[in-house]
Amino acid sequence: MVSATTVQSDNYIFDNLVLYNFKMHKDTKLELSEVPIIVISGANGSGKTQILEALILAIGHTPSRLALSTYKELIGPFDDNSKITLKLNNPFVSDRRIFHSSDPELSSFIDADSFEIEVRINGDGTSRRRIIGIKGNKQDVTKRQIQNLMKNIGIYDDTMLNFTEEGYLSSFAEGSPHKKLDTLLVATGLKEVFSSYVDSKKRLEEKEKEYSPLSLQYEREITKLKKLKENFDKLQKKRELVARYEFVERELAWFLALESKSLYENTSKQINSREEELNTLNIDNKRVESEILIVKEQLDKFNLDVVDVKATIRNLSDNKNRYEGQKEEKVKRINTLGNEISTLDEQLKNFTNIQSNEGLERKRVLQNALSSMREKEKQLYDELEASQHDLKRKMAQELQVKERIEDRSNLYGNITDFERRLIKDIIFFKEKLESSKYRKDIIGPIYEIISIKPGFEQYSDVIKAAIGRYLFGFVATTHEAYTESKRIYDEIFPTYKPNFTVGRVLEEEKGPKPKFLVQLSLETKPEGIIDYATNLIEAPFQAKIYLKRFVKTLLASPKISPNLLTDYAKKYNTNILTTDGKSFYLSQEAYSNPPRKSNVKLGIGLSKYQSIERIREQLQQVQFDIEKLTEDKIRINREISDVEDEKRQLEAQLKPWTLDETAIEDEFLKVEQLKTTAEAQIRTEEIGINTLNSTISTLSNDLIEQETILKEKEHFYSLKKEEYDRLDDQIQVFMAKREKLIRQLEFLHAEFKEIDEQYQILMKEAEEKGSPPENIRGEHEEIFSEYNKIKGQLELLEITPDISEEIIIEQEKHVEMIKEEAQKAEEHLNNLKADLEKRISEWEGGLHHIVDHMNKMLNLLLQDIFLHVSIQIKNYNDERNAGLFIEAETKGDNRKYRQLSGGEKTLLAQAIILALHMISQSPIHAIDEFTQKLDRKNKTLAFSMALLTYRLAKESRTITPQFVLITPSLDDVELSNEFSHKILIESKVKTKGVRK
Amino acid sequence: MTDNNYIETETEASSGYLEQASEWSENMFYLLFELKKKYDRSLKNKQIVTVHESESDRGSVTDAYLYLQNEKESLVDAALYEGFIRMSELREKNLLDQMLHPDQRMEKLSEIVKKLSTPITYFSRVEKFTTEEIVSSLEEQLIELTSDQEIQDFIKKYQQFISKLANNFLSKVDIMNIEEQIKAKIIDKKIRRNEINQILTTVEAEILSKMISEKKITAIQEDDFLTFTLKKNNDNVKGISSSVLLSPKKHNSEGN
Repeated sequence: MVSATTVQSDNYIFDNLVLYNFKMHKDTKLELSEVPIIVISGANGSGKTQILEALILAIGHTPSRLALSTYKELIGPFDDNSKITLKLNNPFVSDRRIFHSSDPELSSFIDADSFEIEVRINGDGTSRRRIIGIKGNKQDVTKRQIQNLMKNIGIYDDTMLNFTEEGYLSSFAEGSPHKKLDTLLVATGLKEVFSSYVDSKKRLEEKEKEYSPLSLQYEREITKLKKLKENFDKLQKKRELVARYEFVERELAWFLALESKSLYENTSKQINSREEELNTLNIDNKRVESEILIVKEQLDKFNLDVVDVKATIRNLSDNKNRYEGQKEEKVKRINTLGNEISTLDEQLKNFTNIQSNEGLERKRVLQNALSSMREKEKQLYDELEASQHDLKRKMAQELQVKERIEDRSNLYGNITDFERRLIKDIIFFKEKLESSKYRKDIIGPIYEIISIKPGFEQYSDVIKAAIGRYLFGFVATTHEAYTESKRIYDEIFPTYKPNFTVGRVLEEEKGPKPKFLVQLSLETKPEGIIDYATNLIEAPFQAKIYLKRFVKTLLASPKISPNLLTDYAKKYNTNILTTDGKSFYLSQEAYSNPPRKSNVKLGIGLSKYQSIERIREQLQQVQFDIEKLTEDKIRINREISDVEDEKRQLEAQLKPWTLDETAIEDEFLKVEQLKTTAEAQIRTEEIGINTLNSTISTLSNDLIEQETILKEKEHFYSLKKEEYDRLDDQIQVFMAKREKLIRQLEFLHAEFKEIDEQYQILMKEAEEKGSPPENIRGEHEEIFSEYNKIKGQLELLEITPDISEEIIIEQEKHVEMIKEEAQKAEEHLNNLKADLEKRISEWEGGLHHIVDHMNKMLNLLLQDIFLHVSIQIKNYNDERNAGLFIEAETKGDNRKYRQLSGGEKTLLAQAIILALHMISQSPIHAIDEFTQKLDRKNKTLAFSMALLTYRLAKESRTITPQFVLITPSLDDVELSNEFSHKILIESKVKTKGVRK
Repeated sequence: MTDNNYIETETEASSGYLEQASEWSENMFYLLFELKKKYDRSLKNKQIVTVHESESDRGSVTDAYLYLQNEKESLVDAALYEGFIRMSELREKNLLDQMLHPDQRMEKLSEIVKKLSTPITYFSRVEKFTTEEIVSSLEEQLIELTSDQEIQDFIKKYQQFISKLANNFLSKVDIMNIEEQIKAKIIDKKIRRNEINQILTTVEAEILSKMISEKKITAIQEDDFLTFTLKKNNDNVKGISSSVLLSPKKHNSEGN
């Protein structure tokens, strides 16, 4: 060990440092108290920084490079453990040792001129720290205890000023202003504290800006108190009102009860009066009823009398009429007989005049007339014969035509009248179409152009039946043709519209057609179903399309059951016709009459049918002629009969001229006899008439008498009837009155019951409210309006919860409490703010001091190369914008900070580091990488600065400041006596002494 | 066990030491530390410290900052003040909560939600403010420059302490010469470690360090002796690297 050769006044604290098996250092001892500034140099990898690390560990702190690794790595290869021993001097300063402790145990070890701190690192990575007293006594200590000891000399674990490790310089030299300031604040221990104070202060200021919730609550509670008080006042008022309300309510109840009582009594009286009235009415009624019985009996008797008289009159009248009829009959007989007599007289006269001129003339006239009649008769017979001949001829013709028709019908089908009518119409229609220019665009009739598919000929009839009237349809294939066909249809059938169809199948649908277009298809074909009728024909596609639209009838075997076929009809939504044409099942689940059979023959030209029709017309003509001839024949026969009648009459009239005289006489006598008989008969009849006249006269007299009696009887009857009606009216009035009274009573009884119930309720309510007030006011209106008024007032007064003076006092206390709490809180927060402001101000003062010191130091240290250097700190209380700005100007060439070389910047940073070390009160300052990046000239300057810093520090301290500067190489600076230059070399240790 | 774990266990042990602290500053720190613990605990457990008590606590530490020695202690102070503020917030919230009916609490929550969801700023058109305006509106706090006069005074006052060190430039030839000198002095010699400090100057030692680093020379250590050999002769030298600290007594100039 080299003994200290220091100036007497020097007070070195750090005496020496021994490293045993610490990393590369097998056994190294560094004397620290020879001179104030120790410079350690050596080539790379010679273990310079390891010495600094050992020093940091010895004073209870952790080197930054070690923080990430374990202690185990510190143990060198020469032994199982490692040891660092730091000897510290403990001089007196102001009568007190510089190291001291309140821990008496520790105090006994350190209370000496010197002591040692030993750090032992075991093979397992654990560490052990001991204080070794001057006498060699040892005491285990914790890291914290060592740190606390170090506080005595101003070394704190969080200030980096004492030990500037590698990398630190560059952050000052190259970092941004923000980074520079950060480094400064961290280095001076000002950073986190300030942020924390500023944050707390901001928080307080924000609280100040906001309206305190407590104050808000205070105001709310005050309002509540005010409301409570208001409510209390209201409550007082309410109480008075409630008393009055209760009284009026009782009065009202009693008023209503008493009112109800009087109504009750009144109704009771009314009922009694009505019942009395009803009794009286019943007695009167009975009396009248007995009266009416007597009158009725009399009335019935009078009625019987009247009926008797009327019967007698009717009898008399009947007899009189009968005799008058007999009389009339006899007069008629007399008249007839008179006529007969005059005729006989004429005959008699004729008999006498026969041979007179007059008679002969008459004979000639009659004979002429007779011969004329005979002539006419002969003509008529001729006519009859001619007619009969014509008739015969026509009938033969008829037979012939009929035969022709039959022949053709057998050939072209015996079409029905229906078909014939249609064919007639379509012939007419087609003729017109033929003359139009669109005749090629209209095809049809359909039956003409279709045929049955081969193999299905046996279904021909049924297919035709299925297609029905559509067989006679047409198809128009263009718009124009369609329009034209319609025009023709309307033109030729202006009123009667024949039952055929014209379809429109346009050009667009021409060409090869997909099957679906021209055929109806069946998804599945159940057994017995044959196909759609239209699928079984062959036809031009237009016709097929046309028929597909209209005819959707399926053909099926007749052997299938009706229910099954109906199911199919429903399923396929189509009608089904059995192949025998006898059954027709509808899609609506029904069967109906099958479509009519069609006799038209497919493919036969319309002209054929046209010819048949023409023949038919001929037949009609012949039949018409026959009819006419037959009529003629009948007429002629009738005329012949008439002529014969007349002939016979004429012959009778001519008879007298044909008789002889005897015959004439016989005839004359016969006539005279007849005349006498007739005259006798007239006389007999006249006697009968006289007898009848007298009888009639008697009967007339009787009738007059009986009518007088009837009038009398009817008079009596009507008088009685009046009396009866009067009594009956009286009874009706009684009945009405009685019914009315009964209804009134019923109503009154019902009302009475209600009034009684109401009365009971009101009475009960009134009694519940208390005894009746002494004076009840007479007017309901008056009581009720007061009742409502008070009720309204009470409602306005709000229903307040139970409120009392206690509650108000309680609330007042509560308000007071909050007020006090709020005031105290405010006061407390104000004080906190003041405290924080003091702290921030102190911090700012500290920062000012540092800046001031640094500006002075930098100018002093760098006066050789810089005209002036200054540092500025901007926005230190605004984390993001804060920064440390350096301004400098070089001597001679006046370059600004930005224009400085890297070496100059490093030098400036070095100066800052040294200036910062000045701030610290620590006795030791260790700087790693001291001259890195510096050229020779600046290196010399840096050591000069270090020397100056030492001298300045020493000037203001009682304890000698010690510097340890570590630099890679130092062969070009002449160091002064304040420096001690140590050099590290690397050596090879042979296996001996190396741990296994 | 790592050292960090060691520290954890030491924390408990240190409280005994703290209790016995007698220094005013230590007392003050102790007080701060205890109060901080108290407020941390109370805040964690939501135990209310009355405003009266808080004020009293605050009063006892109002000047603590004047005695604090380092950042760590200051941070305890800062944390305690944060604790005071948080406690006052908790206290106020607690008091209000006690007074609030649950329905009112819901109502308050709805008020907060409403307030938060109501936009407070609306710019009817763009470029109402320019960036410059905003920036210039910020107050720039600047720590003033120390005046030139003050600096000049300071420089004048301490001028006497300045002494400029001399520069000692070595040319390549110089260095080669020195290397030869070193070789002559130490090669193939067994020298005690202490004796080397007498043999070599600082510059020679510095260049020796470089030569060893450049593997021109190898230093072999045996007990307290060092043997230096030239590389060409010692190709097979094997051993473990070890640092040797030289402390030459003579400076270069003195050596020459």
